Amino acid sequence: MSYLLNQLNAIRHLAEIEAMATSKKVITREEWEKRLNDVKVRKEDMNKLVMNFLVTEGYVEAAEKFRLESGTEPDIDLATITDRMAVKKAVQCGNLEDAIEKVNDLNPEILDTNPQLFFHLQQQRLIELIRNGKVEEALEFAQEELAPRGEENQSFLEELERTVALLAFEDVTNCPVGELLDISQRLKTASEVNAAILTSQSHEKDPKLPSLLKMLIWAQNQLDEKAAYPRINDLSTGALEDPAV
Amino acid sequence: MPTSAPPPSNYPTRSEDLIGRINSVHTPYEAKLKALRELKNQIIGNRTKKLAFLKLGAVPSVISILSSAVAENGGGSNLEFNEPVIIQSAAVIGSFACGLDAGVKAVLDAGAFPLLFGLISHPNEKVVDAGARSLKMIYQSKLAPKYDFLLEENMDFLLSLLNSKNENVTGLGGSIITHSCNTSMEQEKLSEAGVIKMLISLLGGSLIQRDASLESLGAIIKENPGVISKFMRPENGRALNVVTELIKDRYPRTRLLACMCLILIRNTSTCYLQDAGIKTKLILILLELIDDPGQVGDEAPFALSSLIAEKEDMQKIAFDSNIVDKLCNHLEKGSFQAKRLQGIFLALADLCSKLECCRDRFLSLKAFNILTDVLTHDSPEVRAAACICLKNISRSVKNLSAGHFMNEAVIIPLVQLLHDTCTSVQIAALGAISNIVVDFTAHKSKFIHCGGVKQLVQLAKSMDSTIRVNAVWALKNLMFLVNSTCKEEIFLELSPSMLISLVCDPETSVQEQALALVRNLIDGSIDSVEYVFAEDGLLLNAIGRQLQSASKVEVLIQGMYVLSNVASGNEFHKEAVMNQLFPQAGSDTQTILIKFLQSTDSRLRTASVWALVNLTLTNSPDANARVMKLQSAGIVCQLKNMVNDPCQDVKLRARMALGQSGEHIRTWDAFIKVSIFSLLLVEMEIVKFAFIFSVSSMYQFPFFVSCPVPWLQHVVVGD
Amino acid sequence: MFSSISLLQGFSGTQNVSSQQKDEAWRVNVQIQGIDHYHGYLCGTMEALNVPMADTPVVTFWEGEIVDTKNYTFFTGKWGATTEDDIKHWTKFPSFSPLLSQVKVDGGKTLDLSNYPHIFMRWKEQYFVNVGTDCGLTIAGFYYVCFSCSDGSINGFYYDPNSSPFQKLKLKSTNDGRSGFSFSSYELQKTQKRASFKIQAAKLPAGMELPKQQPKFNAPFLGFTKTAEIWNSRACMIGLIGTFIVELILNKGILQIIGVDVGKGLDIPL
Repeated sequence: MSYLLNQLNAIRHLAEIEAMATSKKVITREEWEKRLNDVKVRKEDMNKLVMNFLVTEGYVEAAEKFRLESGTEPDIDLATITDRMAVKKAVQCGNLEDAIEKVNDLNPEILDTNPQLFFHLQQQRLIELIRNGKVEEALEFAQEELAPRGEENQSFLEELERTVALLAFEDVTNCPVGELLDISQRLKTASEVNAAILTSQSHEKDPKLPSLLKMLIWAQNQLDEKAAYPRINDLSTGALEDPAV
Repeated sequence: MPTSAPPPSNYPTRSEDLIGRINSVHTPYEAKLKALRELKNQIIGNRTKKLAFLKLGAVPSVISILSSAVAENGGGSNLEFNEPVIIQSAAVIGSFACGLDAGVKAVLDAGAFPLLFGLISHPNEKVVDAGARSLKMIYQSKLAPKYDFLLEENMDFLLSLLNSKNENVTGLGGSIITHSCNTSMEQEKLSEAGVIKMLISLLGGSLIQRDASLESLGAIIKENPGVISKFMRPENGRALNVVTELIKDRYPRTRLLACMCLILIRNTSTCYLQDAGIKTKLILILLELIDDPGQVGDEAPFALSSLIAEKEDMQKIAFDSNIVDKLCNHLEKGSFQAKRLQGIFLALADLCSKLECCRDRFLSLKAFNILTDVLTHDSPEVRAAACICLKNISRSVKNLSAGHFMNEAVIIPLVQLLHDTCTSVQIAALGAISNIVVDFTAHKSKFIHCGGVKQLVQLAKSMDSTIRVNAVWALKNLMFLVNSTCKEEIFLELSPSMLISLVCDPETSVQEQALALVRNLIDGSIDSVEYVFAEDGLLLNAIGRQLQSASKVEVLIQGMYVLSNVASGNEFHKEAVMNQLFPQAGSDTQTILIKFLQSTDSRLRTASVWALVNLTLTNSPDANARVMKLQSAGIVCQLKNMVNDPCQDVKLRARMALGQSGEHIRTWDAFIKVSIFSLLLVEMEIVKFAFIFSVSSMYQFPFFVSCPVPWLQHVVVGD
Repeated sequence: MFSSISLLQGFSGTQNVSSQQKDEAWRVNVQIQGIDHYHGYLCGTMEALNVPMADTPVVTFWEGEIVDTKNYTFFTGKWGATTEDDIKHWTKFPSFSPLLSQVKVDGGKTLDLSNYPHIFMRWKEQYFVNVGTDCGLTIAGFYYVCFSCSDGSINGFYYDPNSSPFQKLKLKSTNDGRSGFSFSSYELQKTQKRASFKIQAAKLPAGMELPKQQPKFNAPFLGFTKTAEIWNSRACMIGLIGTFIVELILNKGILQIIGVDVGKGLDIPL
């Protein structure tokens, strides 16, 4: 260590300000469309994409029809889709007991090795009991089936607490945890089961089409920083919009 | 809202009824099938129910149903129910065995094993599925019997399993390998049988097959360089490429298993996977896997830990990938399963084990507060992991010197952990404390005031030698450069008698730490030397005895440094050291000092030479007498042999000691010759002593000191 | 390489603050705190005792590079020191002269110093231990240091383009009034090797083994957690009615019904 001879000299900041010439490239609609037309996508690939969507989402009949019309073979046995859809439907209708039995018939490993899914199914079952006003049954069920799961896992406990809280309210639809009774909760559970069954069948749990759309949005966002070009803003129509210059 | 609910009509039948229906011979076949299915649906995913039904003896009942159904072999009167009953009962058995050792035991005890294996060759694919799944579950428990690969028929059967088209059957093959392949002999046997090749081809199969093969591959190559080199050979072709591709698989568990395979290869044979690209990739993938909400996310930090543990290059790459921030972000998100917290802290611990940059980064983040909070976590594994992490972070002298750890937020919970009911937590806490109390900032008193010393002393009396050694270690580090007031306090708490018993502990590692503790105790102010004379010198005697009898070199080194520190005191202290080194004056037995100076361990030689440097300091009045004693014991001769010691420090210290003894190496040889010559002259009465004195003064030697042999001295001085 | 510098000694001596006025000198204490031969690293603290501008002794923490020609050469290559500065300072040590010609060629990269009786180092102060950065002193520079293995003395020169040149540091090992040398030691604990880790292919549910002890129940799942408190206060008007109805019907408290006995864990009758 030493004395400072010249404190002013000790630290000197040189701030360099760079004038950024922000000049974006503009791509016209004609040019863009021409480029798009140059990209060749094989029809079979397109068909496969559609088939993948139908199969993953479980549209058996549509898939069967599409197979006949386009000659695209699905990458999974269509019969298994029927079973899977039956499970999904049972959850969507609120018939959880039936859904659990069907999953167990399909493959007993799924629920035995996936505590989270099993808990969510049981939780949904509790929600259905509460929805139907079967208070005593709901309590007995919570005690016998759900409380031990909460003991095994802290996060289950918190969810269970929220669910049981439904019992304390008269107007359940308007209480702080009312969203559990919403139909969207059933759909959430249903898609979780759907994904688990698909995984057990070595099939992707998400269809490829939505991922492609996500990729499109991401790519457009990246491109926005560098160029002005005809964007697709409405994904349902896929219409190109003129670049705002 | 709730109105009076009707009594539940179709709520699950009470367990006893269900078992009753399954057991009863009167139950019609169809109803039995229904009961089995109900039992299955009750126990799947439900540990509590599994345990309850186990108590009710459900397993033997189901197995007897399976057994009789198999015996009927479709030929019985209930043809249409035969196969469904087999399927359902196999599924029930599988569920009992899933994730529950008690269930596996019950299933094995009831003799289900051969029955289930029989199902593998059943014509109905669904029966095969059910049987294979159940066996797979059993093989995932360590209670499953070991599969003997060395028997030829067993190996053939295993190969047939792996060749099957049914994914559950190939999966079973994988489970068997994973469960039973433990020794290198088994690994080689499987490798020779071509199992690796089969597994590689299964990597292209379904999810179950991929995961099972990756796991089995791991079991076959683990810590076996021979098998790994076969795995890497070109005839296995794309083996490595396939596995490397799978670290990008879309299923998290597959990615994790593939990473684990590569880690096993890398950790066993360091020549493979040295490319920085793959190293970085592994780290990034494992980091990303920690995001997984399920078990994969819990296990990924452990895999990360095994990838980077003890490997500085990996830790550097990990640091450059911003791993410390990423792991800490996970911690800040909060609310984890204990397993994941444990894993993340262990991974952080490994990162901070060597690299200062990792420690600095961690300390600069908020996560350090989480670390101290977690010291009081409910799970002992998490508490221990947090301590291990703290221990490695505090390996930094720079941060110790800045006093980053010696504060109440850290020390109080750590001292509390010394009372922990779990031994591994106590040991981990002792590790962290050992480092933290090194503290160079003169705030050691804080630790004493938190009751730390009291508890350390208690643990130094533990029956568990690991606890004992770590407690003494912590005390030793606490004693390092501590001020006199604290020293006094610690010494009183320890008591001389306890120090003596620690020095004489049956465990050599405890002896070593205890001697180092005494060494630090008597360093510093010269008054501190008096501590070693406590209990009428019993402590010093105990140390002397250890030096005479101990064989472990680390014990001897610390013992010699104790003597060296004592010898740096006053004349009385130096004499006391001489008495320890030469217990029986005048005896012919070789002194231990010669043995130490001739040791092959340069550290022991250094410690011993330092003691001699202190004993021969020329400015002390009685040094001459001591030098004479050393000389007559052959020490000076030995020192002379060490002036060119390969260890520089020994060499320089030996020269220093010799110089102090008044023995200039240059003249030594010449003087011996002169002495012997003069002796002859005296004997022959040619010259008188006066001449010899003049010769000796010519060489600037104190004559009595330099006499090489006692008899010569006697002859010369005696008359 | 193992040398007496590893014995973490204390040193004391002086630093000539100005090269012009010979009388102006600080008393300086140095304590070596850690050494890592493998990485050519050592560190410690430096205490300046009679600093006119400060009320207390000023203590700094420094980290050192050992010129072992493996980790570090004689060329600093940073901290604003050119190779000319390096040579200029090193040559001030008489023990350096035999090395000079080779150092001029390659910084001493090809020299073997493992048995050289002097150890050359650079000490760079990192932070002030006991005072703020506003203490009027600077630690912008660094020291060229030479340790003599034979007599345990340390010589050094402070280098900072913004401070007086060639401030000389002279240190001798301290002996606390002893006639001889005494050494303390400490040892930092490392991580013990852990048992190897295995990942299973099948996703077994958590808790393969039975719990060894009764699980502690920190957050009862109804009633006493933070979230519950929040909705309790907001919605107790409606909530209480519902709760009472349940209690009236079943003649039990909600907690009891669910089987939670707060503080005792779950009691699950089957």
